[in-house]
Amino acid sequence: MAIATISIALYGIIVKPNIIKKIIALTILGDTANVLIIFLAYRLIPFPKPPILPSLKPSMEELSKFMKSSVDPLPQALVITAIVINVAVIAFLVFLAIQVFRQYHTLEYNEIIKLKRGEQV
Amino acid sequence: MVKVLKILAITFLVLIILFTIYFVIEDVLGGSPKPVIRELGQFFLDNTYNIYYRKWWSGSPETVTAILWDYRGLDTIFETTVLYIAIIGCMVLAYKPLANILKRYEKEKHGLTLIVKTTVKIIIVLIAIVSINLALRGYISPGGGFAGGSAYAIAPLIVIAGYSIYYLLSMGYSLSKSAILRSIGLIVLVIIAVIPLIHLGYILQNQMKTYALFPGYPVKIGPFYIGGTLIFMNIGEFLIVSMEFIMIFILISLYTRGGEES
Amino acid sequence: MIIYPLLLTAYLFTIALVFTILAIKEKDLIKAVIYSAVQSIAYAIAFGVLLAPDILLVYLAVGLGIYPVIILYAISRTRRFEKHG
Repeated sequence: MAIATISIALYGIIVKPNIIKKIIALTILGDTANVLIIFLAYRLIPFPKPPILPSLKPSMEELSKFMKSSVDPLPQALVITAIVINVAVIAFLVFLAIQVFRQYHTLEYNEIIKLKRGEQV
Repeated sequence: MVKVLKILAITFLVLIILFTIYFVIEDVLGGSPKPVIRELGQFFLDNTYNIYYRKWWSGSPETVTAILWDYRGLDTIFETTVLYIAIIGCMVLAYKPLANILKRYEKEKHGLTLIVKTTVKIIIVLIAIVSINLALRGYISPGGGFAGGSAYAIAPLIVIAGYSIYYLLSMGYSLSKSAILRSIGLIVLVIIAVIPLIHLGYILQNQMKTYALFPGYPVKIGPFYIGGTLIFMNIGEFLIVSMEFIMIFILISLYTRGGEES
Repeated sequence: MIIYPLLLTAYLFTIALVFTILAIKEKDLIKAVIYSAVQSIAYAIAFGVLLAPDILLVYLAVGLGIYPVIILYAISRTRRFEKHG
């Protein structure tokens, strides 16, 4: 199901000519990829637990129960980094989109190509 | 021309769908969720707060924050660098000297209605308390530097929406003060990362290892638990992330269309 | 008992799929931003069901409070409606 969302977001990036619609589809693509990673790192037992130890002085039994029933912690750390890097990229793209509008006075991709070649719209 | 592009896009997408279904079901890249997780994740779960076998331990019971700042600390430092470079790019496009903007403040006293303004005043205090709590207790409860910084940056955004941008600038926020605070956060991170080099350790070391003889940061001072390096790293990251987002908001709300007098 | 969280994530992904289709087909850009924000809420609940509390706090602040605001700033400085396509 998440794969269908990724494909629809990719379709939106390639086919739609407006630049802001492309940026919206790019945010949807990034977020769906992150959710897919976390979904693949789940543990299929009856009662899983989050990866946090609930007490500061654990006994041996609590520690072994925690080791056997908790969700994978490694993809969660990488996804946090990925979310913040996505924010940086999208913020810069938005500034570039406003700059493009200031120069060409239009935001459709077909018209920008025609204006760059020198013809009229 | 557009029709050819559409047909190409649709065939490309169908191929991607078939490949990903094959990879997820046929267990090639580690497939769907299973009752036994990977060995690397199991290693991190075994060793982050194992009091009885202290060869690889880190000082906090929170596994995700320990992975981010102790076991894979260089990833986080590079990600901070990526944010830094993106902000420099935005400032090149949209920078305006703020001195002659504040002179126009008396002429334009607008904003939304009185109900919105009192609600904004209450919400700002609550957001500040919650975000500082999230950032300082990153080594015990979920949260940490990133969540605290992002939540703190919502507060000036609400002030810009309820009042106007000129009110925020006359409150004391400005681009240079935000840049100074972000640099202070970065200096805190760098100092704590570099200190273990004196005793022949390695950068970003938290506890003692057998091959690096730095005695390690304290896990407990008096009756308070401190998670080694983790509390200072979280404070530094909170300052960096919140000031970055505030700078983005100030820059984009002063960036008008071309051709008007600004 | 094993299957209840997986059914819940399947339901949330279906809601997100419906809202992305609506967001991409829309010609009024402000409505597209709001549909994308509703889809972000569905993903935040999915992060909670899959037991990842650290990511949930970061994603709520970023995906609901920063993305729609920056895109709304961009729309207000440029045009609101999309022409053809």
